[in-house]
Amino acid sequence: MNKFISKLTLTLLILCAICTALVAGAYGLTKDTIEARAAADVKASYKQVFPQLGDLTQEKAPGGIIQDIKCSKAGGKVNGYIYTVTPSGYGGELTIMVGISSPDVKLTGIKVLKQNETPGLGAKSTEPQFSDQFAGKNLKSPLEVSKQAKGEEIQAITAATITSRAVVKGVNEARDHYMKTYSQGKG
Amino acid sequence: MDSTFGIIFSAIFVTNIILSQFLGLCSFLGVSKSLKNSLGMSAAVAFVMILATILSWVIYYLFLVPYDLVYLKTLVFILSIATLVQLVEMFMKKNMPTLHKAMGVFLPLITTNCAILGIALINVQRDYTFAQSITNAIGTAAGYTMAIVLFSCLRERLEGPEMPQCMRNLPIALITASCMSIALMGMSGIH
Amino acid sequence: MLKELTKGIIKENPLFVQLLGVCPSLATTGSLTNALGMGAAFTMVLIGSNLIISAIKSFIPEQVRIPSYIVVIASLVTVIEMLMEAFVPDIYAALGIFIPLIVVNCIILGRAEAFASKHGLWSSLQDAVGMGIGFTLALAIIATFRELLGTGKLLGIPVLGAAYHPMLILILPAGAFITMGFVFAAVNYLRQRNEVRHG
Repeated sequence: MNKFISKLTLTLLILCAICTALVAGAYGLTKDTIEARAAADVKASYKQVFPQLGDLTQEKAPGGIIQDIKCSKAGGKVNGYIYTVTPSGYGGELTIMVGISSPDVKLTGIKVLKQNETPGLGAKSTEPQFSDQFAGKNLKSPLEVSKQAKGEEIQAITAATITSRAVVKGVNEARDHYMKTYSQGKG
Repeated sequence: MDSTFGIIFSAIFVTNIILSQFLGLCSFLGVSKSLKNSLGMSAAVAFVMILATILSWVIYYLFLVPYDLVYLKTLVFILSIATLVQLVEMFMKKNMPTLHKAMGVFLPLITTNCAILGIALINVQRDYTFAQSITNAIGTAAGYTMAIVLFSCLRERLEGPEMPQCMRNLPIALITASCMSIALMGMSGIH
Repeated sequence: MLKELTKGIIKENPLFVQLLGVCPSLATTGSLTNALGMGAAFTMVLIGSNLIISAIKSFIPEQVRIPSYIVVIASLVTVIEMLMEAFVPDIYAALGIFIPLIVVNCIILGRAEAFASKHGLWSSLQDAVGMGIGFTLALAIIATFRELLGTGKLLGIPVLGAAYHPMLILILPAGAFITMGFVFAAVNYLRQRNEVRHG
């Protein structure tokens, strides 16, 4: 009986060892690709929200819905900031990247990185039709969202006002923080 | 939404494990033909889900994270759940025969119930603390129970009425489930 | 010669006939792209697990066969998951937790227990390919209905034109249940008609 049980245990043990070794091998092979791809994705997102991307340095994020701030320097001069904000939408938090150029306080672009909004409604916030209208907006005053947008206003997504407002709120939080912290008293 | 109440409310109504996340459906459709079986299955799922959450949290943060073995989590979690279910069954058979009689037949089915592994994986994915993980497991189990018990009451009533032969059993059950899912959609804007 | 291959596609279709693997077929059929991605991942795991289990069946003692199958399947799923994260990150992100959950997909453990542990390599391979195609086909049928009627698109490309007003409900969770209900009803209808004819 004892011999039988030790045989069972041994078989399972060997099998587990072989399988774990295989998984570990596959991990070693794919790890670099996965990391390189993730880094490239982040870089591409930065580039998308802030086309004049220079060298990035980490800034101190105040917490709350502002999760991360990066400062971009080109030729030794600060030319803008990239914020990562997480306002609450309809289906939970949205993660949005916001680019603000300095010192002219223009919105250079936004990108919705993560969202859990209703498919076909709020989830349209990731589509260029909505997100492209943010680029180039003047941030000297806070952004407004409207169902019939004119001028500097943002056109809300049809039937997804909560999501549209959440995105704009995220941008405005980033703007307020920028005005308070980085605009050298000009704001 | 990370407060205790928030997690429980969300797990029951907003992201209900069955009706909006589609986990544990096999058992949902399989045992919901009678109210009695539904209750037994819910009790077994709740019991194992809470134990599995504790176990997987401990393993993940005490062993996998410190040794940088996070990529083994699926393998480790499913093995520990399978072992856990076996141990619980043996323990119950010996020490709690009444309870074993009530839940016993459902226990072996639970290893392959995706709700259990799903919750273990979701908890680590969302970086929940130990207390939050347990809260989430309790809320999810409550959501599972609510969905399956209400559904079995509806299904018992579906036996009677006339309908096209091809709609009987599963098709009409799925359409009923869809109505329940629509009812829960009204909750999704609440934070 | 290929009879183990064809049976899984229609006659013993894992989803429509054996009613296995219901969870992923509701969760990943919101778009055809996701359904095909899920089908492909599933088929790869099934082929791997059927081949390995068929190859090692004589070394595994009867008493520990289920844990052994689970170890093999879980390892394969982890490997496939890492490959998908590295090479098709978009599909990986869209399928999310349902990739690791292939581990507890009853079809794979079911084929290991019912088929691969009793048959040789060649038959097991055919069985896996057939079941994989059958499952992918079933997912694709459900996803086609949901994506086409729910968004007016197919594979992300607009098909029905701007005049079509999409039935949004179909790509929401409730729509998954309702579509599946009607597809199952249609399958039942066809089977019952066949039985009347041949019976």
